[in-house]
Amino acid sequence: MTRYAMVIDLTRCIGCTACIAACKMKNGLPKGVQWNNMVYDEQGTYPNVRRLLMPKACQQCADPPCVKVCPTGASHKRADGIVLVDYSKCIGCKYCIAVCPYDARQFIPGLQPYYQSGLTPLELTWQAQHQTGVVEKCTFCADKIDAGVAQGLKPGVDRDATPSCVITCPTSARIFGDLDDPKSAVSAFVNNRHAIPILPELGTNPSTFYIPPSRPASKGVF
Amino acid sequence: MAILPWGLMIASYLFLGGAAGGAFLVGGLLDLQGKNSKLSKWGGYVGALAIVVGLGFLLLDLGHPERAFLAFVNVGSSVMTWGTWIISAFAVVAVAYISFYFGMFPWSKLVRARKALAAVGMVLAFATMYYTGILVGVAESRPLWSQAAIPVLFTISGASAGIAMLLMPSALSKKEVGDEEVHGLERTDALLIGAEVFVIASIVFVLANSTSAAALSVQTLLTGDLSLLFWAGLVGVGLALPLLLYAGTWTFRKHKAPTWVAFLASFSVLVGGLTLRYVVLGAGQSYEMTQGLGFTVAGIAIYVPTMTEITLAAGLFLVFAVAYALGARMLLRK
Repeated sequence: MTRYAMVIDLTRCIGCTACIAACKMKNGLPKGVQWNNMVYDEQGTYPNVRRLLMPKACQQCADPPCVKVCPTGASHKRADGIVLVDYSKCIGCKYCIAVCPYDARQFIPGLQPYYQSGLTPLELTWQAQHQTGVVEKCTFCADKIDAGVAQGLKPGVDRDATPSCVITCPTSARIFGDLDDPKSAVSAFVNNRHAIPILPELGTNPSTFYIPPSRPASKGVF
Repeated sequence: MAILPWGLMIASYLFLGGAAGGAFLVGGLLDLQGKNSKLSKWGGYVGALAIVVGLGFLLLDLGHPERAFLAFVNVGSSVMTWGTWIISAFAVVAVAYISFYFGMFPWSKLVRARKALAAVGMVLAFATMYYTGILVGVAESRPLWSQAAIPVLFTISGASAGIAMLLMPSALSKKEVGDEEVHGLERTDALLIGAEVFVIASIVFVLANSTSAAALSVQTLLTGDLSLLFWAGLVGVGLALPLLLYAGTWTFRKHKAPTWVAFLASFSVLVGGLTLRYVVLGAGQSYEMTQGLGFTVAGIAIYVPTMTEITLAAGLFLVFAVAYALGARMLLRK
């Protein structure tokens, strides 16, 4: 079996948001649509403060609450663990958004152009990949993984079969691979380096894991 | 930023669904008892109207209403698929039931069939009220919603709003339906409002002393951005005012209360019912929380309806009010 998973190392993340830009370009995301986000926070009290940076997208849960509540089966989980939305089945009821504890999903009310002069040729090519009135979210670049696997490439190892945010990250803070493969890098991070999921108590069993920031807030970072 | 998917439109839909169930339940009960044909007819009409307009709110909120049929063919894990069947069946039965009261249809003289339909409709009416609470109650990731008390609260509030919808015009012409029935319903409504206060207070007390995410939601209600709506709209207008008015009417029963008192009592119950759904939806989704990595990040976002939503909601409520007033003229003044 295959279970694609991602590890995000918060000790390495510098908050450059290149992953967000790469995601927007790869998936042709229109204005106002972001599948990948950065949580910024300041923690502690002066002088013991630190800046918290945390990239956050769909956690690709193994027990996804969004799939459970979807009334039409538009939200579904593939055999390789990737949670996707079938846009042609989505009725836009937004129940999945209401139950997602990670705020990973977004309703697309309409496609707005970036510039006042209307949609650019590039935006027009993006438009074909999106629909209004449906819910979208991170796909783990499933299309890229599928195309790569068809060519015999290995996701997480070969660039052309790996999500764009992962290959873009300049500090290699993102690691991608098959969690069911004990030799993969993600398995090593999850098993040996204590990469852990967020809000595990909700029983969603996410396939995204984080390595917590190195020092506790009370000691300061910078 | 927390993302707020459900707002004014869904709150209105849940409110009308609950009220429709309550109104039909009372009307059907009176019909089965053979007690008051006028009020049972009115209950059927209000139930049918409220659920049809409520479904209008739902469809206008959907991104792709033309695909809504897909929710019928996928009955399974999602409570929404069950709810789709329940609410649609209730709407059909309620409309069919009210057709018995119009002489133009050949089946309008079949009393047994009407009563059978009333019984089926009552089951579906209750299921509808209950479902509006279950829908939000099963959202485990929202501590304010994921309460056993929420379906109870929505059901009680739906019954109370349903009764208020029945009483609003009959209060204007009490002779038309009979004092005894009206007083009985007023008393029931007061009891239901009392129960509502009890359940809301329980939720607030328990959650305010619960996990940080739940406490954040409750703070939004008590002292945060939704506090004005919570205290003034729900507690003040929706709960305290009708209780005071009912109490006043009974205390000074010998001096006949002016009709506007009873009207105001009913109307304030309806305002409270809508506000309840609105603040529960708003506060339930208001926070974003990340925990478990040795830190907690919490953000608060408050839903503000867009102009489109306000216009659509105002339009639909206007349609409802017109059809309601016309129905009251036709069915109650004959």
